[in-house]
Amino acid sequence: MSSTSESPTPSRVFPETQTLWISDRLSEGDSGLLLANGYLMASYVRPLTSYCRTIGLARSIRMEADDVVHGFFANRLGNAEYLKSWMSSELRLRQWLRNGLHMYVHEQRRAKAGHAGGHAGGQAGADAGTVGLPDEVPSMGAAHDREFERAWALSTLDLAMRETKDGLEKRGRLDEWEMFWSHHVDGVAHARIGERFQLSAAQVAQRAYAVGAQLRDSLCGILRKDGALIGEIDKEVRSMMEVLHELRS
Amino acid sequence: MNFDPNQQDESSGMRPAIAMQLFTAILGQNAHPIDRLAARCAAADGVQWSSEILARNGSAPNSVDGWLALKNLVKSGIDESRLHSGDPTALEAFFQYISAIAGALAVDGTLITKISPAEIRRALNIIGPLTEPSCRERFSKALFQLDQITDSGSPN
Repeated sequence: MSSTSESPTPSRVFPETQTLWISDRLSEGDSGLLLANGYLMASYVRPLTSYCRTIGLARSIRMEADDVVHGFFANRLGNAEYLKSWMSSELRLRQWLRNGLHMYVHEQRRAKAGHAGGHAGGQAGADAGTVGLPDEVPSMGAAHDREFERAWALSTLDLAMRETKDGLEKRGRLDEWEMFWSHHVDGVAHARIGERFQLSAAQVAQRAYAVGAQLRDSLCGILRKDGALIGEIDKEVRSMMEVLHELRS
Repeated sequence: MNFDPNQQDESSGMRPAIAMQLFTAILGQNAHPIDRLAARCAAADGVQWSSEILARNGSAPNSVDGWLALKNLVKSGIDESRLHSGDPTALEAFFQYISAIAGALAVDGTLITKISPAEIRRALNIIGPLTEPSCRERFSKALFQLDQITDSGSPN
């Protein structure tokens, strides 16, 4: 993710109230808007597309999910005012974009209905609901919320993971990622990993811990750009875990 | 909402089971023991891991007293600080502890712990589906019994 590495989150430098990354980018004019849009595309297209496909939002207007989400971004992101209006919304960026996507789909549905009505010749108002207007996606409330949060959690963690790995690779320290992964995901003891890398258990533990901290920093940066405060990061991570835990609800 | 924790997410390519392990690593010492245990159970060898731990206890008790005795026995192996650092032995003891509570609940609806029903429900909900079939069934029965306790407002 070049846009995030080129413009580091200023969370450690400025007070909390001045740290909205997107706000900083928008204050830079067109170049900043371009960076902000690039970041949004890289971070939110996947969870929105997954959500759009899973709940049948794209199907409701007879489009592919990819096309709907890209259409949505193309339609909205050209105007800097769109992102500015998020900052006064008091919503997390992901929630605000999801609401925006629903609105966009609604507009598309109306446009399609109007188009179909026009062809039907004067019957638009009466027939749109049955002839040209695709079905609304029935609101599933919390179930749809969870679906989106789940897609967001997985894609965000994946993004943080790729950033961390890329950073290590650039510094020629990808073996540290392997140590981290072997221990935390594959459950291999530090001592055994150490045998492979000719390091002591303590050295492996230290390196794995450092990678975990870098992964946390990457995730923290993404969550901050989404609108979370620094003090809320652990709570955010826990709620991301919680939504993955919801196997039986 | 049901999904397989080992099913790869189509958009991110990330498996929820791996995500749980990574989130636990990110939280470090701040990870809740239930989340830590869930992450361990959700690992690729998690079902085998839980199955081997339960097999070490021999045959499952069939009375509440038996489960109570087992719970007290394994409780001594839970070192809080080691549990919070993800020590495998402490995690094993914690799994046996939760399993003993589930066992007693499944037998006759007795809750042999002072931990809140909400917390026990969370543990049963999260960990149960990640274990081998007989254990999963026990957790499921326990959950049903726990719902009766909550519904009637009394623990027995």
